[in-house]
This record gives sequence, structure tokens and C-alpha cells, in this order.
Amino acid sequence: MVDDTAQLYTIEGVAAGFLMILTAYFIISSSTVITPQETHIADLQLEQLGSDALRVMDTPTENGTPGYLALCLSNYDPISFSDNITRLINTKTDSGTDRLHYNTTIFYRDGAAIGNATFGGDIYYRENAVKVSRLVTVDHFPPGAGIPNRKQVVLVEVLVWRS
Amino acid sequence: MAKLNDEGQWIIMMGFIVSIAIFIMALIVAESALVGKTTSESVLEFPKNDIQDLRSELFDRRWSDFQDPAAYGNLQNDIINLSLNRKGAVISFSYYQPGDDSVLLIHYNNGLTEYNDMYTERPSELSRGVF
Amino acid sequence: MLGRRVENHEDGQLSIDFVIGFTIFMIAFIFVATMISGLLISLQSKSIDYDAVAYRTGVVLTEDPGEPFNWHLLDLSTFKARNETLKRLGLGISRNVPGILQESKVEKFFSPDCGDSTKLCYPTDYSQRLIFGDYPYRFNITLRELDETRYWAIGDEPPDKYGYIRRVVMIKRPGIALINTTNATSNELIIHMLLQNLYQPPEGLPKENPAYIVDPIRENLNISLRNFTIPLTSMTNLELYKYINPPSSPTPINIPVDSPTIRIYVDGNLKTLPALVTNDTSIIIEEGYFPRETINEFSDVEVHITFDKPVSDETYLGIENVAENPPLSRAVMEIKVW
Repeated sequence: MVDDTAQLYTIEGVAAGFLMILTAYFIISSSTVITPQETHIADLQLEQLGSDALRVMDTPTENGTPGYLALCLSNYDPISFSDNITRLINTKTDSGTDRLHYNTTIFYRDGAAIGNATFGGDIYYRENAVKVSRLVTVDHFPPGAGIPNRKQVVLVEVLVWRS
Repeated sequence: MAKLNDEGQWIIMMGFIVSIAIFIMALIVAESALVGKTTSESVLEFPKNDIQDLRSELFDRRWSDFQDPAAYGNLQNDIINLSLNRKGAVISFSYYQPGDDSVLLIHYNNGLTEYNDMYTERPSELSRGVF
Repeated sequence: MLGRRVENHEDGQLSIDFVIGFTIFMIAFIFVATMISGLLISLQSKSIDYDAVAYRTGVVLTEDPGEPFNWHLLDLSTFKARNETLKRLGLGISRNVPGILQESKVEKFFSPDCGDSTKLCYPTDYSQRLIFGDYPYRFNITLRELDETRYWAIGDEPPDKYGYIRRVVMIKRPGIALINTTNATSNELIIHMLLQNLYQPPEGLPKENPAYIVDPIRENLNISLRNFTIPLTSMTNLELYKYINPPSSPTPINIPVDSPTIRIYVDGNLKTLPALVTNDTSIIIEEGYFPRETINEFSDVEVHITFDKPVSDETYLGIENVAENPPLSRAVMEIKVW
């Protein structure tokens, strides 16, 4: 009485169902969720940190004195600037330091043109870097150049990258 | 030749079709992860640091350097040209003193974000509150 | 074998074989179709969010004074203050100078105590007023002062992967009034505080940047007494008076026992009067004491400190001449969220 008739459809149904579930399982388990944010989060962190460091250097610690950044520029002192900014961007609250590097260019207005001067930092090749900038009022920059001696606003542009 | 046994081809075919449909949907789902605005892109795009920098610079200068018209013109040209040339942002500001008041108007536009600010104060009057 | 199907083309009955197979297929299909719509839910996982939450927390802490802007003076033991008035925990001094933190807010923020009703409770107050969101994010916030080497931390130990942001800030420390005593005629030291001289610049000048204002109303003020020339001097009395407009005789101001009040420290130890003084004597007017005694920026206050030996030559000591802020100090803050 028990024979093998009427077994083809059931097997086909089972096979089809199994096929669907297996496909869905493979897709879900193997798909790597590409989150584009992960590529920009590092940029966001670096840009915020760089801007913070420039702002802290530009804010006078006491009322009436110029900020440290303005002093470094007026006295043309890239070494103090380097020590300061390297410390600010690399210090962590716990032990250890970060591995951030920077490269600075100062832009100033010379009549109708915009001139620039490098201001220290590591050599930048092709790393993934962000650019942060700040407007600073200085007594005169660059010292000794042919532009008239007047109080001026310069743009400090710093490239920050992680090695 | 003998007739091919085509029994049950419907159901297997349906199974294959559904699997392929699911596979295609998964591809579409994967693509959709790349489309759309991410939080960090929005944050990087908004010029928060530029605007804060500009405001703090102008507020610090308003009573010292801006009181001298020659210096005011020079500094104004510096800021406007540097921003336009290097950051692609249009900035215009004016500081004037109608009567007892002092008014500082700031306009900033970098193509994506526009910012306008007006700050008035009356230095000879004792006014309440924080800066 | 094909069975009886071949002979019965018009009987309109499905074989049981087909029905079972089709049923199994349909069940599997419905199950997978439902599962696919749940595929998208897994893409909204919280791990993408952590860096964004850390960034937002960083902005609220460093660039926002909080809501209300003087939340560090609130009496959190009342239900209304803690649950309705206090909306956002920010550490900044003013919304117009972002990136400068107020030290009293920092101290309050990093020292929670759920058992003390006047202090913040970790983690409920923090997750509702700093982190925000329905998901119970866990966090770890640390702040290190670069030159003074002070260190504050709050939160749990982070796991291997977490959202992270690092900020560089400045901290405004409370003002100090340094007074050198002299061996002259009077046993009394009088400090005159016409408070509007601290908050309002002289006529014709613009408002001061809040980062550089000495603020006895919202911050501690340390009156530091130095250079006692006669040994074994002791302080016998401390009184405060206020002058109410129109001018009348001065009204004494109450000095309560509980905080916020005025406290006397000698060599770092809290003392009650009369107290022997040394060259490390401080009278701390605690933040919130002046608002408690309804003294505001337009009040006129005099502090009378009496000793048992001569300490001053009765020169006029205006608070705006003797008080100043220590320089702003730089600090690094790290926020980790998971």
C-alpha cells in the first residue's frame, strides 16, 4: 500500500523552500555592511581637534595680552608654534600620545594679491589629511617682507594627518 | 525520444525565481547604504569653526582696532580677501556707531550655509546680563 | 511512477503530493519574505551611531553653557530644579565664548553622588541631560589639565570598540583677591565690593569678554591674605554689610552655616572664628552665596575682617583693584561612547 507515488511534489516543495531560505541566509551572513560614515568619522575627529587646538592657541590666557599664536606669528617663531601645537593635538587624557602630524602655511594679503609663507611642520606627502584654519590678528607678518608695516589679519592654515 | 519528465518544474522554477528576486533585493539594499547623507558629512559640511572664528575675531577687534578707520579698512580687506580666496566664503561685515549705540553686522555665505548676525550695544549704558 | 494522475485530467482535484509540496513552499516563502523586511533593521545598528553621539556630547560639554546657564548653582534637592529646570549639562562659561569651561561646573559634573540629593546622580542624570536618546548609551569622559596636571574622570571602563572624540579646551579658574597686610594703624581690613565695577567696564567701554571677568556671584572668590608681619595674629570677626539704595546705614548680611556661604581656611583647614592666621589664609566666598542673600551685580557690599593686631592702614581696597583671575589653563577632554 505504501509506494513512492505522490512524493515528487513534496520533495520539490521542500527543495524550493530550502533553496530560498539558504539563499537568504547566505546573503545576510555574508553581506558586509559598508558604512560610508566610517571613512569620514576620522576626518570629523581630526578637523574638530585641529580647530580646537588653533582656537586655544589664539585665545589670550590673560586679558589684554595677545594670544600665543599671534605672538608666534609676530615674532616669526615656528619652533615655539611647533612645540605648542604638537603638544595640544597629541596629548591624550590617559597615558600615551597620539601620532598626529601637521604642516602650516600662513596666507596674508599683499595689496590686491594673496601671499603665503610656510611656517614649519612635517613634510606632507599623500596622507589622508584635513585642513583647519583660523584668522589671526597680528602686528605684522611676515616680518621683513616688502608689505607695509601695519596691523593685519592673516589666515593660518594647518594640515593635520595621522601617521 | 521519450517525453521529458517535466512534472514539478513549476515549483522548482518558482523557487529559483524567488531566490533570485531575494538576491536582487539584497543588492539594492546594499547599494542603499551608500546613498544618503551621513552624520559626519553633514558635520564636516557645516562651517561651525569658520563662523565661530569670525565672530570671535570681530568681537575682539570691535573696540580696539576698529576704532581707527584706516586700520578698520585694512583689516576688513584682509578678512574678506582671505576668506574669499582660500575658503571660498563671502564675508561682509560693518561696524558703525549710530549715536550712542554700536552696531556690528556680520554676513557669511560659503555657498551651502548662510549666516547673518547683528550685535548692538550701548557702551555708555549699564546693561544687565552676560556678554 | 506517475500514478493515477495521468488518467484523471478533468477531475479538478489536486493530488495530496502537490498540496503538501506547495504548502511547504508557501510557508518557506512567507517566512523569507518577512525576514527580508527585517534585513533593513539590522542596518540601523547602534554601532554606526557611537561616533556621532560622542561628537554631539563633546559639543554639548565644551561649547554649551548648559540650560540653565548657571546650573551649577541650582539646589538639586528640590524636585523642580532637578527634573524641570535642569535640562542640559554643559560646562562652558558662556555661549559666546565656546571652548572655555567653568571650573565650578567641571567640579560639579565630575563628582556625582546618588546618595546626596544636592549632587548629580550617575548615570540617570547624565543620560537624560547629556547623552540623550532612547538607547542606553554608556560613556566615559575624562578631562586632563595640561600644565596643572589635574585629572577628572567619570564613567565605566570602555570596551575595545567605542565611538570617540577628543577636544582641546581652556578652563577658567575662580578669581583670587590677593591682599598683603601691613603693620599699620587699624585692626580692621575693609574690602569694598561695588560689584558693578567687576561686571560693567567703566563708562564708554564695551562689555568685557566673560572669560576674563572676576565673577563672585557665579564662581568662588578667594580672598587671600598674606604677609602678616606680627606673629600670632588671629582673626576675630568677619562681617558683611550691604548698602541699599537710597543710601542708608549699612545692613548686615547673614552668614549661614551651610553651603553656599563664606568659609575661612588657614593652611587648607576649615576654621571657625576666632582663628590663628598664617600666611596661607583664605576667605572663600562660595559661588551662589551672593544670590542666596539676594546680592546681585548692582549691589554694594563691604567685607569687614577684624583681627587682634594691626593689619592695615585703612586704605581703600576696591575689589576691582585687588581681584584678578588666574590665567586660563589648557586641558584635553576625551569622550568615549558605546
